Amino acid sequence: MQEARLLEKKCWYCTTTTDEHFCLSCDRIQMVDLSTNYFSFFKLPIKYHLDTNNLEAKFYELNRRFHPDFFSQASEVERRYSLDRTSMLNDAYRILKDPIKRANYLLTLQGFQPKKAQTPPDLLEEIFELNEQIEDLRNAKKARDKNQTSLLKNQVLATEEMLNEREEVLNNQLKQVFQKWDNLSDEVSIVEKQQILAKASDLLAQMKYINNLINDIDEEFND
Amino acid sequence: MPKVVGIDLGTTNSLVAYVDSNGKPQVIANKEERRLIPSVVHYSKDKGLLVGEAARAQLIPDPMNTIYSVKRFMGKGIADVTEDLSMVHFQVAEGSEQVIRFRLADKEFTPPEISALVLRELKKQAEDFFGEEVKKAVVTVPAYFNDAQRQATKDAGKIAGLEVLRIVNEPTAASLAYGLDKKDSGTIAVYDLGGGTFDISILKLKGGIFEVLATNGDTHLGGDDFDQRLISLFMNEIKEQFGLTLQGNAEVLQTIRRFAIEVKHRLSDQEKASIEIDLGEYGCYNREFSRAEFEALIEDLVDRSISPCKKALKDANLKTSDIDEVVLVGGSTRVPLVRSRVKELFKREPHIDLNPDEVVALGAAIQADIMTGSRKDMLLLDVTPLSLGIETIGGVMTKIIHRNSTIPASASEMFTTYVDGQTGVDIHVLQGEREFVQDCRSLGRFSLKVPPMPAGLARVEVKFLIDANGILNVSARDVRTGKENSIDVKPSYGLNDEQVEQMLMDSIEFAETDVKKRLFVEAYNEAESVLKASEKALASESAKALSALEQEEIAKALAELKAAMSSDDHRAVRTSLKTFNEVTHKLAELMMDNAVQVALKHKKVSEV
Repeated sequence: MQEARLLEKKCWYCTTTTDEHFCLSCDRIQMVDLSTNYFSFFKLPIKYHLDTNNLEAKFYELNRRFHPDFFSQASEVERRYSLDRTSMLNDAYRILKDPIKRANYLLTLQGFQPKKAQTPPDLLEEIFELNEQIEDLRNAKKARDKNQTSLLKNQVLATEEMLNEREEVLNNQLKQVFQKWDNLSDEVSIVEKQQILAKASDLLAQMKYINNLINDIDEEFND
Repeated sequence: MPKVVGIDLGTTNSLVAYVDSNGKPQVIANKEERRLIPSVVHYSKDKGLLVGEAARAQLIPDPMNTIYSVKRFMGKGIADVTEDLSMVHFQVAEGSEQVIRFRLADKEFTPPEISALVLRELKKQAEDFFGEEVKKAVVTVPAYFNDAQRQATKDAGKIAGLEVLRIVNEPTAASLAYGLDKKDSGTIAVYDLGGGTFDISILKLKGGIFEVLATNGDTHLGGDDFDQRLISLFMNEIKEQFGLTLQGNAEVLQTIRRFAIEVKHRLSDQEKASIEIDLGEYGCYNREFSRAEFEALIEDLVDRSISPCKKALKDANLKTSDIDEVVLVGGSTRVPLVRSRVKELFKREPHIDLNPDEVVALGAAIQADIMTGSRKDMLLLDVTPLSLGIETIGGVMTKIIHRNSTIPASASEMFTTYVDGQTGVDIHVLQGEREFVQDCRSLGRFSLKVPPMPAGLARVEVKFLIDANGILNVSARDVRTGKENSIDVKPSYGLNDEQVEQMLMDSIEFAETDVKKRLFVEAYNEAESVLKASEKALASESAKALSALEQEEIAKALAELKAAMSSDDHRAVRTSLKTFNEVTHKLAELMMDNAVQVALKHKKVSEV
């Protein structure tokens, strides 16, 4: 079914077969194919590792080619395509630019469902304590107890420090896992590939949890 | 090549600019050499329609029929503007709950219609300058304007007879003018404090690309608020000293407002300013102000601009030390306290080379140039300032496009039915950062039509697209049939398409009657000066040399002219004036008095 849907993409203007941003024959901007993956959109291999400077340069270059500001005097069809294509460009850049978003995107491309935030099993005690500290901190603030507030703040900050370190560790592990995956040869079985990605998925779920926690702490301190 | 212009539609002043043949942006001045046109509109029976400086001159004599700072009312409902309304004297018409309507003389105007009158004035100004029609423009808005406010601005452009090529954010436009000048790479912060709105934008400039990283602001903070502090203080002190309550009196309020603005301006250059308000029989209110006192009065307002700056930096993932340059925009950045606070926050001297009043219009002109294809070296990549979402179960606002996403940006959501035979699906769209619908800004309700079928079977994919103007476009597609769905749009705070069309029609009609009135006023004034001159001539010695027939002709023409002047028909005045000039031609020649000769002869020549 998938194969049959892969119709030949023809230029709407001159009907030349083309699968690019612009028709190779008449140079008109093409309708966007929503099934295009973000890596292909940038003509990049589907790998975790990428050069963000290179990505930015491509982002700017593609903007110069199909941003709506340069299509203001064009036909309605071209203006429509320019709007849709630039919109996709922005989505693609947003996802690929950020390593975590990129990692999650890679997983969905490979058929993984995004996992819910997961508590790192060895930190259950610390997290329980942290939640208590945050609750106490809130109460101390309400009661305007300066000493208690100050004391608890320091405790929470210390825990945050530990969480930041843990996030760093997980991130390094993630990079290693993807390095392995990026360099896999084609002979490796699908099962093995999926196993590696499953590990990445777990790490990302834990990182999500820790990130949420750190954001909660920051919010508490911004009040 | 049709002319395109850039327009800064400001709270206090508006400007129009273009890019000259050397690629340099220039502000277009009006016939009186004014570059800043007050965003003030007056309409009354006796004065007719006035826009700009002429309207501003009516603020004190006729405040009830003179509207200013209408930008504060764009894209809002009555409930949003109760505080603003308490500070002004123009009246809101009955039945204004959803769309605000102001009453001027016997007419009602919505905020977009008032703004359209200002835009039309600028359009005329540009047309006078170019000697040809101007139909296309880029118009600026505060970066923090929401969808309804942007749409209202676009509507205003349409009503004014302009094709708005792009709605551009003011700080971004300013950065274009700055970048054109500098041609550097770097990260800049644009701090824009105008009459009614505040924006902070963080941009990355690289190779001609102007990429907005984050934007934040307060659409309810500006120089008008500084004025209000002074006004309140004056009113309170006057009450204390003289036992006089001035609140209800519109003329007095506007007079005091004028003094407040004067003090504010002076204290930007001087350490002290003093005013004297004549209260008639009550005496004279004398007050000396020091800059320090003024600063204490507005300190909390200026401080309100700091938190959005910090939020923008956070969203951009940057520290103040990452900012290479700070650019100040907007007249209110002339206030020394504002400058010192900005310097304190960013730990560097802000860039003040560019004229803070004109830089936005110049940037808009550059953008207009880009849109016509005249230049390809610069490109703006802007963001949407507020998260877009839909209402989901439990009154929750579920975000689908996050704030500071580069635009154009889109997101798709799938919808289905919950009841057998359901033929409509309602979507409530909002903007904001809070968790619950009640704390966010309602943009409108969209109604999809679906054919009746069992619950849960319908599959409609709705695409939310925020275009390059920052305005939401919604389209829907029935996934099963692949066909486009029709959507009924009910904006929460705006005009629907039919209303805008009607207003465009009305404005054209209004313009015509206005034009007729203006032509009459012009003809009348001319006739009046001719009459004055001829009175002198007829009483002079030279008149005695006229024959009886000639004198009779003159008397007849004079009577006809006076009769025409008491009508309102400009054509009648013109015709009778022509006749009058013809019959007095000989008299003019007889006159030795230079001044009269010139006056009458000049009229004669101009009639040809």
